[in-house]
Amino acid sequence: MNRGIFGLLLVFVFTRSFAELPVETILEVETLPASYPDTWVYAHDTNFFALNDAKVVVVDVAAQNRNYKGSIPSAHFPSFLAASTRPELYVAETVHSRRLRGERTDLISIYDKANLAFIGEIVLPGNKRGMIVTHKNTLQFLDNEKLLLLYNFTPAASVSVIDIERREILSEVSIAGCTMIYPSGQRSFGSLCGDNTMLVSHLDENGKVEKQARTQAFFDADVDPVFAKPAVIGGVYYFPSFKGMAQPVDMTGAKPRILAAWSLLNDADKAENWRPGGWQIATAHEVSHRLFTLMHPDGTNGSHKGGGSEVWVYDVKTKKRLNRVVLKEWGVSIEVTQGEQSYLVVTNGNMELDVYSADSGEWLRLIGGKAFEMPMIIHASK
Amino acid sequence: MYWLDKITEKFSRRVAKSSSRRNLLRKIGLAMAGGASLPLLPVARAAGGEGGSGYHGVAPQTSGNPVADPGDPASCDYWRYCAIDGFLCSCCGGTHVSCPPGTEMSPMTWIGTCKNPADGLNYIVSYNDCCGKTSCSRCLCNNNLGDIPPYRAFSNNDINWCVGMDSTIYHCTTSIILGIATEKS
Repeated sequence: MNRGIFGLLLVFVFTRSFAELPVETILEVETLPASYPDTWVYAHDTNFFALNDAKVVVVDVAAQNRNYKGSIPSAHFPSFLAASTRPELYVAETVHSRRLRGERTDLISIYDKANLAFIGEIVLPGNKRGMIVTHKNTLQFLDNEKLLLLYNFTPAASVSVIDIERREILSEVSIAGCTMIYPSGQRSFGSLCGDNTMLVSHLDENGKVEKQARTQAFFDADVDPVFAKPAVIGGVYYFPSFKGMAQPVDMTGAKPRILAAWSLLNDADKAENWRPGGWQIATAHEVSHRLFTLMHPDGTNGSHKGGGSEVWVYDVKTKKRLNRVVLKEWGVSIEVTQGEQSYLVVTNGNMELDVYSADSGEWLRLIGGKAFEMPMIIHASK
Repeated sequence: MYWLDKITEKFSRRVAKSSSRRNLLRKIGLAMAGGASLPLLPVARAAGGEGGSGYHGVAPQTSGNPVADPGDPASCDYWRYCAIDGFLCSCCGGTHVSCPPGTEMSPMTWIGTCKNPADGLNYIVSYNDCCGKTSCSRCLCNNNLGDIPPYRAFSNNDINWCVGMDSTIYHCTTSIILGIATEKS
């Protein structure tokens, strides 16, 4: 064949097979749905190595790729909470006017779920916001998400009550000697106290404290402290203890009912000294009334934050263990998504997320690639 | 803390990849990472070399009184650090009892009770935070002997005690003896 004709044929074949790419538009920005699927979680990255530059990452744990959906910033020992009745996300944080120095401002920053864009703020007076390594129960809703409650610590402990629909601060409730916010009835919340009781604060319709009452002592912090990070099933809070008890507190009524504690351990477990340990050490799949706890063997005084090699799954109705999930990597924090097809999400020792089937315990995927520095708390989308 | 050991180990491994001198350490580290649930403290210790602090690239120190106050203040194993949570000021331009230049020490703090191996006495140790600069990031150490959740705030090491300072930004943590505990732990 003539070389010239052959060359022309080649050019023809090439141009037919590899058509020129179309011109693309610039300035495209992705958006998210206003309501997230139940396979999405919020990974709260405390970023201990640059604490004033933390973040919350929205992650689809069911997706093999494109599972990092976006993020919002959160400064210095922040708290985070997502609304389910409106498309808003809340970050309680503290900033200084000159980054690390200057005037301190505590605020609730509000982001829109669809754009992850900043849409408003509530400035909090008095420099009172409690700063603690991220806990879920430092920022909670009450009264069908009409009220937002924020934990303060100066070290005087109190709770700010905020009308989040009007974005107005309503009151401050002293919880001296106590900590955290455990929502109970329509307008009341509990706080765990240093004298081994729970203080219950009842609010009136204006968000002012109406009355406060204490339960009897129901744990012994000197012998076997309960973790301040419970899992909730049907309004019953399950507080694991350092030595492996589950202490249920029924918060559905006007007054908490302290239910009988039961052991997470059988005799063989006790012989091996299994205990709960890690950061977020307990979570639940509510509709199937399953409690999940992060466990480690050879427990000692001080091992309660050390993480665990297994996640144990219980039916809280029968108080029987259903499964032992042997983790692929050492676990630090756990969460379970709430859909019918539920996922167990584990912050592992490499500060990545391991995703397992919450039913079978089968490991499904790793979400890593330096997405997070320290995702200490995972919030399932609700 | 197992997962913190693991982070330390991971960093050690990252550095080791660029240093043939640490090939053995790298092999140990990779082998142990394969056995995911193993505590990795021995590897972290090895990273500091024989007698080292446990932190890669951090040389050992003394307290200045090695007989009565033994151990390495740049090591997470130093006896006073039994309930510490944070970056060791000894690694950040300060010492175990003083803050780095340009920071401020928080007078409010949490308290631990640690046994001095030299005299067998239990000492009350105050873990004062140093505040006003970004995280030191060096020598992260978390021991939780006697740590209680924040309903006993002064026995809890998760709280940012820079909370009452002009700048609430946490930098590192000291460990200062307040006295001898009256009860043996």
